[in-house]
Amino acid sequence: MGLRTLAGIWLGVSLTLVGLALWRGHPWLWISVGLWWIGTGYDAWRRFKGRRPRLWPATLIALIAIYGVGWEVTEIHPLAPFQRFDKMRPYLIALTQPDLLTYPTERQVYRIPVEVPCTHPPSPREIREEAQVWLSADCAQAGDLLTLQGEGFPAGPSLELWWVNPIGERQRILQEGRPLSLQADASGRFRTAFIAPRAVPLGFEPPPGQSQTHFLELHVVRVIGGPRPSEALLEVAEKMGETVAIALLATTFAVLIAAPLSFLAARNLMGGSLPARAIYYAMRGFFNIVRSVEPLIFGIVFVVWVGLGSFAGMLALMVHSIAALGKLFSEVIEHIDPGPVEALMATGANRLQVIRYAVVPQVVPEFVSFAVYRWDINVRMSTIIGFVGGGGIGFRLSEWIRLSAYRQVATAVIGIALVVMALDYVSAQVRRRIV
Amino acid sequence: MPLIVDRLTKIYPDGTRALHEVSFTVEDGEFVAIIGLSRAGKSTLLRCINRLIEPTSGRVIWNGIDITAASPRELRRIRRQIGMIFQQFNLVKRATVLTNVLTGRLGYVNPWLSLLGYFPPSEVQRAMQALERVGLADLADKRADELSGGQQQRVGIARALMQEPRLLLADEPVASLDPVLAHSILRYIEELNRKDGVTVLCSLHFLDLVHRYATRVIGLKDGIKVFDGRPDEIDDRRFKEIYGQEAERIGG
Repeated sequence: MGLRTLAGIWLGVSLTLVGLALWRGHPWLWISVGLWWIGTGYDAWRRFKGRRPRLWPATLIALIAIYGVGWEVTEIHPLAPFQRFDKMRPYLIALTQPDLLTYPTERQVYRIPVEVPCTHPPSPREIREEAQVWLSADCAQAGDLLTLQGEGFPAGPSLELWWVNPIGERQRILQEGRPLSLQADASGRFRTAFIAPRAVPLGFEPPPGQSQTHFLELHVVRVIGGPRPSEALLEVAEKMGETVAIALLATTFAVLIAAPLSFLAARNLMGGSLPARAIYYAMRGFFNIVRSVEPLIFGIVFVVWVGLGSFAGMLALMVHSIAALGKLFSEVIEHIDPGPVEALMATGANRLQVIRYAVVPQVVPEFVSFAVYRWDINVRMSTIIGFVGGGGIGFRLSEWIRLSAYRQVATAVIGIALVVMALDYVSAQVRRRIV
Repeated sequence: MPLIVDRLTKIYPDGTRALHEVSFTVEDGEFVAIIGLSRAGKSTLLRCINRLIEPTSGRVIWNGIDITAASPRELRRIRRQIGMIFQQFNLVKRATVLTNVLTGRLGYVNPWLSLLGYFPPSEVQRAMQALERVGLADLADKRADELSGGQQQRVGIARALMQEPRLLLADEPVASLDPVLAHSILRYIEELNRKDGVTVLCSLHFLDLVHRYATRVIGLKDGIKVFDGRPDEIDDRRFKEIYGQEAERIGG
């Protein structure tokens, strides 16, 4: 290394360390600045004496300081993934039981009125229809323990408990955080205890001393017919189709626009005159700037511009792809064999003819290869463009994540993984065959 | 109508002086060999004639037209009458042999139709005749890169034939070929020269080839013309003038 380089590195590292010390304000960072100067001074003294340079102690000090601050600001917490494993567990469990199939069912409903809150001493309530059900109390408050028992029920179908509030909103009765589901025994009886849920809608609280009528519903759920694709599965399939289509159109439009533009950004074709040079630099700059902006950011812009939905997502991916492909294409053009270009110029062909016959045949296979690769990338990108409202599976996935709909999330994740893997394979095969 | 090269000078942007005040006149029908060491300016000289390289100063006049002063449009009209073949053949490797030959005709056909890939049947027929002449008619539909080096150079000649050239510039046409193939290629060029009366300017490495084919020799050293005469006039003294004191004659 020359002296100039060394001086540059010394200055750069010194400024970095001082900057870090000013930013974080830890005394040990100031110590590291001092040690860096001592270490480099020692090295300089050795060089001056004609001995072998020894920079590693100073380098070590600088690295410790830089990584120390890096560690601190990234808030690295190595135990968090283990300590907070319970947050992840439902998703992992759901992955083993994604929401794929549903069985068409028929429900027979027993409705038991419950007064909330109690304005009189509670007494049991009985309902007799095809079968008999007893609820331990005809009035309750949220949080009361109630018992329900029944007689004369068929043994096969599962029994679900639902709570209906005065304005008809239904919620499933939970037990230890999971939906309560039971079955009658062989003699047709069942018995279960549950806690009355909080179900009074906001603004509908009864005046003091009065009560409202809620209902406890017992559903006898009979499966009729074979398995069908679940709603989530159908939705994931449809949205994945949309996702692939967004990526396909974005890539196709991007190729159609980037391919001609890339010729204007190829140094070997834009030599010579001053205007040509100017166009070359303008195109180069355009590609570099646009390429450095992530599609998600374009996604936010286009959602505002053209409205929520797939079109915004498609435009976002297209704009980014134009720049990314334009740059790659122009580099392909710059690396062509100049021989045929020279030969065709010598035959008296004009500029467009030279491009058509000497440049295009050389670049088309690589253009196709990059385009297919880009499509592959765009499918992956379009699965998340929906997070900012750009359509496709991401929109629904972000909703399911917010609702903690674990099994639906699992379905979507599996769907994305399968489609991306399949396209990855197809794109690799296509590219292998072309180049 | 002669080719007049008048005080042609080329200085590259990096300061290299590739040609310095080179002047000569070539009469119709001559077969001129241009010899000299690598980097003596042979390729630059040939490319300055059809302005693939812009000369720094000097003039090239052909058929009474000043090529060096021609507008881009005029230059294309001139170029289409000047065939050129290259050391590396410069074929479009992924295109078929036939397409490569047809590209020799681009200066004559309708430019817009040619952009769509269309060539009139008469031109396709002309291309097949050119391929027949170099003995490759049966390979017309092959991709150019499937051919051997010698065959590729013959495609290069067929492409030049399409231009119905009055002048042929050949830049080391046999230097990347097996020496035993050199004669087969040069014989096609000789036939063009003798039968069709095409003026040939051809840079060559081997003196025995120069003796066998050329009617005249121009020797370049460091961009300066150091010899201009008949092949049999190159004696040991002249040889050392062209190739330097350390050079030894082999063959020819």
